[in-house]
Amino acid sequence: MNRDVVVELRDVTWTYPRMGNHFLNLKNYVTRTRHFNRLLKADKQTSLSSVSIDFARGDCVGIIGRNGAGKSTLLRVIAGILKPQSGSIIVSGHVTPIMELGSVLNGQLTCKENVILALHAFGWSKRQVNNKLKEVFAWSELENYLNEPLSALSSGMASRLYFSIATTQKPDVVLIDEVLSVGDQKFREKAYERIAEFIKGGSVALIVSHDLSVIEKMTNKCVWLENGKVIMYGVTMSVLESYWKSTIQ
Amino acid sequence: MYKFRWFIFESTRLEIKIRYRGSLLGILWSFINPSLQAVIIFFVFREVLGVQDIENVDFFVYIYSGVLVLNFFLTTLLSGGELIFSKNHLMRNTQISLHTFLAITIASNTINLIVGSIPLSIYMSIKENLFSARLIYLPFLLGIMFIWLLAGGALLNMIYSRFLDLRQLMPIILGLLVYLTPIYYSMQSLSGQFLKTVVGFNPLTIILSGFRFSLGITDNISTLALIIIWFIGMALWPIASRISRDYREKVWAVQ
Repeated sequence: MNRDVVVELRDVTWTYPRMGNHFLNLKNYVTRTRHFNRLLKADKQTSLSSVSIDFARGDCVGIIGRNGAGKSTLLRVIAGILKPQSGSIIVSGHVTPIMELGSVLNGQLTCKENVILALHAFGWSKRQVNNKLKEVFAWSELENYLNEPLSALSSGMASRLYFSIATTQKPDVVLIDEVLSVGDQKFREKAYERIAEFIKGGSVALIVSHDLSVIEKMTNKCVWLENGKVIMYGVTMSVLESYWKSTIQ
Repeated sequence: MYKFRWFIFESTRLEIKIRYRGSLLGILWSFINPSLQAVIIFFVFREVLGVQDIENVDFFVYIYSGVLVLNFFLTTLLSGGELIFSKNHLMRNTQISLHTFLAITIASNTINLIVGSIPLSIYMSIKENLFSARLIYLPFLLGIMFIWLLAGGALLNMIYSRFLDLRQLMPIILGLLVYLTPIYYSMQSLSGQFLKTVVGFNPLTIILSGFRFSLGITDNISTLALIIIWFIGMALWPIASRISRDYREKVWAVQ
């Protein structure tokens, strides 16, 4: 592997059983027919199909494609959340996935408790968490909400807090899934700045977004995925142009 | 799991905090609940059915200890088995594994078990006028239960992801343990070899007898049986690990 390459994917395939309502009950198991058995075997959804791609240090890569193209799955595979059925992935260094804010933070807890828990969820020790607590609240400008319940925050404020938690430590690979589209202009600018700092420092950022202006502004390279396959990978502007043309057609 | 040890610790603490938040008596419910259950069973069996003390043991203490262990086991297994549904979003979006969430569920319920055992332990120490050295068995028993619950919880998650109907049936199936574990009867009182064998081979029976022995409630313990179920638990561990590694595909199936 090239020393500058931080993430290397070779022929990565990930499928999952589309079980649906016809699968998940005892009745179908008991009464299943040959036709139903055939259906079960065929009923697999391919999210990634033989994806081979490299991401190098200093790259900020946009990932675009229609809904269900496999963008989020690609991030989850790189994060190690999903194990591909075939192919290989080599990731050098620390990966920070920032996906679906609401699922990680708990509305029943205070902001401080949420921050502590979320930092531990990234694998941080107690001492590290104590050292970083102030910094997290300072960056997100939510110092006054320390002991307030998370439910008191708006979704924009919560995303600010979570982004601050996830990016407190400089990662080697940062994976961002639609998080930047939440929040106000000021938050977005701050977030862009922080990502740019990481990239300057040798990290690689992968950003999934349907907002093509974000991709255009933030990234130098772009991957276009369709039905789990890489349609195009290259300089952002040329990939975006092809993507725009295809959507117009 | 080691990487997320602090997450386990903090989550356990907060889970207990949330569980009793707003409650006047807080964690005291850990022994009020089984006490009330034990009082009802005691009343029915002693006053209505006329059952006398078992194995020369205070009948209430005997029932209370049984209810405590049974509640712990069933609550942990049932809530641990539901993690594929209750923690679905977290499993989809973080690197934290099913095993880690299971460990949190077991740990928070273990705190309840320990708190519930404290008054029992104090009562037994006063009654026997000594602090029993048998308490040394307790960590060993907790270890056995941890392994069994980890394996059982992982297995239940997998079963539920395939057979949703069993999610409805499982509380009833596991409810059988109430009758197949000597909560309010003794092994000696059972008639019929078959019943004795079934109850005797129930791992919970062995764990419960160990628990009662360690608190000085009864004098019967089969160390060999405990060692055997420890080894069975250890054998189940790799199976649970294997299941835990492959669970993410299943998490998608129950979205």
